[in-house]
Amino acid sequence: MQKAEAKKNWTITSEAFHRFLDWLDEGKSSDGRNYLEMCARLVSYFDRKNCRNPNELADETLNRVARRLEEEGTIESETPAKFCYITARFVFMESLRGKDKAGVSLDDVLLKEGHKVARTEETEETEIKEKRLQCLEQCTEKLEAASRAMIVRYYYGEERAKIENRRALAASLNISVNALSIRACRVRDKLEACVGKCLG
Amino acid sequence: MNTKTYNTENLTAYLLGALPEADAEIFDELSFTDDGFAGELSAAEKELVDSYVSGELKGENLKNFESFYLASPLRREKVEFARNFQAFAAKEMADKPVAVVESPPKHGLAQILSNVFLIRRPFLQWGLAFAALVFMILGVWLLRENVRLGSEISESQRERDELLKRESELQEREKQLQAELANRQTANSETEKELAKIREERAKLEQELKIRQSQQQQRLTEQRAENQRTPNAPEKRGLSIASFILTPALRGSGQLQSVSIPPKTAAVALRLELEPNDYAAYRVVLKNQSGDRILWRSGKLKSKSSGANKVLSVGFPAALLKTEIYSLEVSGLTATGAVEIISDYPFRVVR
Repeated sequence: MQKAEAKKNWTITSEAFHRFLDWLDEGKSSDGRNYLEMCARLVSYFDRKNCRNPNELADETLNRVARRLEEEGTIESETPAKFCYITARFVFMESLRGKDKAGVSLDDVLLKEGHKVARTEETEETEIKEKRLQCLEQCTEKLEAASRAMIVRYYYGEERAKIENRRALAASLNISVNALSIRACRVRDKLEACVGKCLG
Repeated sequence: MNTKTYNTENLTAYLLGALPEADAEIFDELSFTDDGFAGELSAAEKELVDSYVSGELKGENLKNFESFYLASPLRREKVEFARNFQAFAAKEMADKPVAVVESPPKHGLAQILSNVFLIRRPFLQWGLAFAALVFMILGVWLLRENVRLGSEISESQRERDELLKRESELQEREKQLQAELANRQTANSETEKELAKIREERAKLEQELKIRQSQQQQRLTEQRAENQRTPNAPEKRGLSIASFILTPALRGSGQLQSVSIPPKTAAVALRLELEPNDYAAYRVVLKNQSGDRILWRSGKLKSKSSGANKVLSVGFPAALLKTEIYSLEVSGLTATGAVEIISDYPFRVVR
C-alpha cells in the first residue's frame, strides 16, 4: 500500500527528466524534439480514444515511463516509442475503469456550442475570429518564404481545382503529391502550434 | 492487416472511429512506432478536416465525422483552425496570387528580383538590384564552370573506364598466356622425359652394338690369324671353307647378318656366339627361311670359351645354302636330357 502511495506521489526530478530525454533520444540528441513529438502523439492517441483529458493522460503516461526508467536505470526490452505506447495503453485502460472516457456526443457539443453562442455576443465572436486571423497572419509571416508560398498554395481551391493545383505544385517542386501533403502537413502543424500560442 | 496496408480509406475510417478494434489497435501502435505512418495519419486527418470545412465530406464519413470526430474539443479546435486557415489562404491568394502561386522565392531568380522591386527605398533598391546582377553574373560564370567541370569529369570518367577495361583485358590475356605456358611446360617436360628415355635406350643399344662389333672384329682377326697359321689345309684336301661368326638375333634390331660365300666354297664354318647359359651340351639345326624344313642337324656339341663369352663351332656343306635367308636354331641339353631352344641365328646368304 505504501509502495503504491509512493508511486502515486512520485514527482519527476530534473535528473530523472534528463535521463528520460536521453532515453527517448536513443543516443542521438534531438534537443527535446523527440519529447515534444512523443507528447503530441500521446495527446492525439488519447484524443482519438475520446478520453476527456488527453493532456493529463499524456502527462501521466510520460510520468510513469520516467519513473520506471528511474527505478530500473534503463529500459531495453522495447524501443522508447513502443514502450510509451504500451504504457499509454495501460493508462487508457485504467482511465476506462475510472470512467474517464470522454463519450461526448455531438448533441452535447452542439448544445454547449449553442449555449456558448447564446451567451456570446456577436461582436465578441467577430473579435475572436479576427484575432485568429491576425495570429495566422503573424505565424505565416514567421515561416520561411518557400514554406509560406507552398502552404498557401496547397490549401487553395476547391475539389477538382484543388487537386489540380496540388498536382501542379508538386510537379513544380519536383516531388510526389504524397510527399507534398506530408510537407504541407508539417508546416501546418507548426502554424497550428504557433496560432495556439498566439491565442494564449 | 499489416503495417503496409494502410491507405486513405482505412486511415479515414480510423480517424472516424469506424475501423474494427483489432485494426485500430495496430494503427494505435503504428502511430507511435512508425514515423511514416504518423506522418500519413496526420496528413489524412488534415485532409479529412479540410473536406469537412469545405463541405466536400459526404455520406457515412460525414455522419461519422459529426458523431465521432467533433466529439472531442481538441478536434473541434482543429476544425476551427482549418476553417480559419482556408479563409486565410483564400485571402492570401487573392492578395498576392503571383508571389505565392507560381514559384517559391527560394528557387526562382525572377521572384527574388520582383521582391527586390517591392522595396520602397530607391537607394537600397538599386543597391540590391546591383547585387542581384553581380550574383546573376556570378551564377552564370559558376554555371559555365560547372558545365565545364562536369564535362571534364565525364571525360575523365570515360578515360578511366577505358583504362579499366583495357587493364581488365590485359589481365585476362595474361591469365590465358600463363595457362598456355603452364600447359606447354607440362608437355615439354613429358616430351623431354620421353626423349631422355629414348636417348638412354639408344645409347644402350649403340653401346651393345659397339661391343658386339668389336667382338666380331676380334673373332674375325683371330680367324684370319688361324687361317694364316694353316694356309695349305684346304688346298691339301682340295676344299675351301668359308668361315663366319654369327651373333644371336637381337630382338627388334631388324638387322640381318649377311654371309657371303665365294664360288667354289665346299664348306661353311660358323662360330655361333652364345648368350650366357649353363647348358652342358648343345644341338644346332639349320632351317630355311620359313622354318618348315630342316636342312642340316648337328650332333651333340660342346661350347668353347672365347673371352668372356661361349661359342659353338659348326660346319656343314656349302651346297646346302643358296642366296636366301636361313636360320640356325640352337638348343641346350639339360642334365636330364631335355632339349630347350635357346636362340636363333638368322642370316642372309649371298653367293
